[in-house]
Amino acid sequence: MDMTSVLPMECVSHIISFTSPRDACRLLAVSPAISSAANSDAVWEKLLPCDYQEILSDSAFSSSLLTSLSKKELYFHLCHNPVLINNGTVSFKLEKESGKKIFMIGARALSIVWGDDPRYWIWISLPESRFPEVAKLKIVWWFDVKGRIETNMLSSKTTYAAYLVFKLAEYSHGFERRPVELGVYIEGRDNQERQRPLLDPLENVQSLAQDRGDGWVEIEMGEFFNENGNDGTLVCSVFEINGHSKHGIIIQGIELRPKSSQ
Amino acid sequence: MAIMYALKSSDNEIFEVEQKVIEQSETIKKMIEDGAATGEIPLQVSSKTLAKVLEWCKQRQHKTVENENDDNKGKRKKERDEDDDIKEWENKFSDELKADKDVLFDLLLASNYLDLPALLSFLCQLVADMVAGKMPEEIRRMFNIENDFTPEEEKAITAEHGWAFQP
Repeated sequence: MDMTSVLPMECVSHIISFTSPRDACRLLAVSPAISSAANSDAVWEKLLPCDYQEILSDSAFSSSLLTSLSKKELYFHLCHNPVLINNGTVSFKLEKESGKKIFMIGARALSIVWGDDPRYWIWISLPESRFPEVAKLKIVWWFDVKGRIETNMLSSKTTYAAYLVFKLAEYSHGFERRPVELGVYIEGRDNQERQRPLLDPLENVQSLAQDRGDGWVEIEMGEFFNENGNDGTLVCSVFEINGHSKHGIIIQGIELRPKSSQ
Repeated sequence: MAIMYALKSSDNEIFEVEQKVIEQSETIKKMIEDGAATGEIPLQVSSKTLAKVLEWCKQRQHKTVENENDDNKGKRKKERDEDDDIKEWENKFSDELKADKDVLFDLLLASNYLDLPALLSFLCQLVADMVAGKMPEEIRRMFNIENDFTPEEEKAITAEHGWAFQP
């Protein structure tokens, strides 16, 4: 018995809305009838995060684009084009395989100690940044950067990893031999173990930073399992205060994305 | 005494069912409220499928009544045991449906027609789990679906969403 001849189309769409984005795309190739169900707005509305409209309402995302795109087109648009929210200081996109939410807290939304003092940090524009401004370190001894995000913004039942997205200017200094302390923890529950990698290791030391392929490198700061978003504020922290001067790091932001993805 | 209703399947079999059990169906509940349900209630559902529907409804009813009667003492352990029982029952129910897809589809239709949202969601999730991770050819085989795409059409779709077709 062919299910598409027995079941009404809305029922087939309803079934497909219980699958994953990957499975829904595979179903597109099964038969024309299933394909049309798998293309339907009913399916992709459910594969989009349930709060996507609320998130987009806080962005400059064109409302005409929002209404002219089918839900499936919107899904893939959001996978490939990060949308700036929160006055352009945070970016939002989707992980293609799962539809889970990926955020990058831009430098302007980070708490950077001395960040508003141009003797220590300056704000520059770079074409390879998705944000209008990035933070460039002139010099500090107290290197202390924190990103905060409410856990109810993140997809539930998901392990997130936080990544510091940065690059080193030509004449950077202070990150070759002195490790920075990286931590991810719930605000007020700061008892997580810290990682202490070198951001700019010398040539004979293995670097933990990965090239992102977009002009930036990233280093994992730690991870957090988000059960249902009831944990309050997640803090992602970078710290180095051992009395040596540091300069030349450029920070685009801190990205939070599901752990298994690239 | 519980109020009983007589449901008549499309092949004229009569099922005597408690009102509380059958009221899970929004369609039948509405018929009862409207006073349209006097005597036998004729349904466009075969006896084989209706038996399955009622099996589901009784299990759900059983679960709600027991929860209502619970006091807090010892509830945790009892709940855990019950959850295990329900899981076991659901697994058996699922396995039977997976083995007989005609009944599965009939049951999907019936849950849609009788407006049983919990059963409908359960069945949709069951089918979604069956296709999870499968390639189009495996899905066609599993559900006897004819592929009436031309090879070019199929190629265009797999090319457009290449990432999804990688094993």
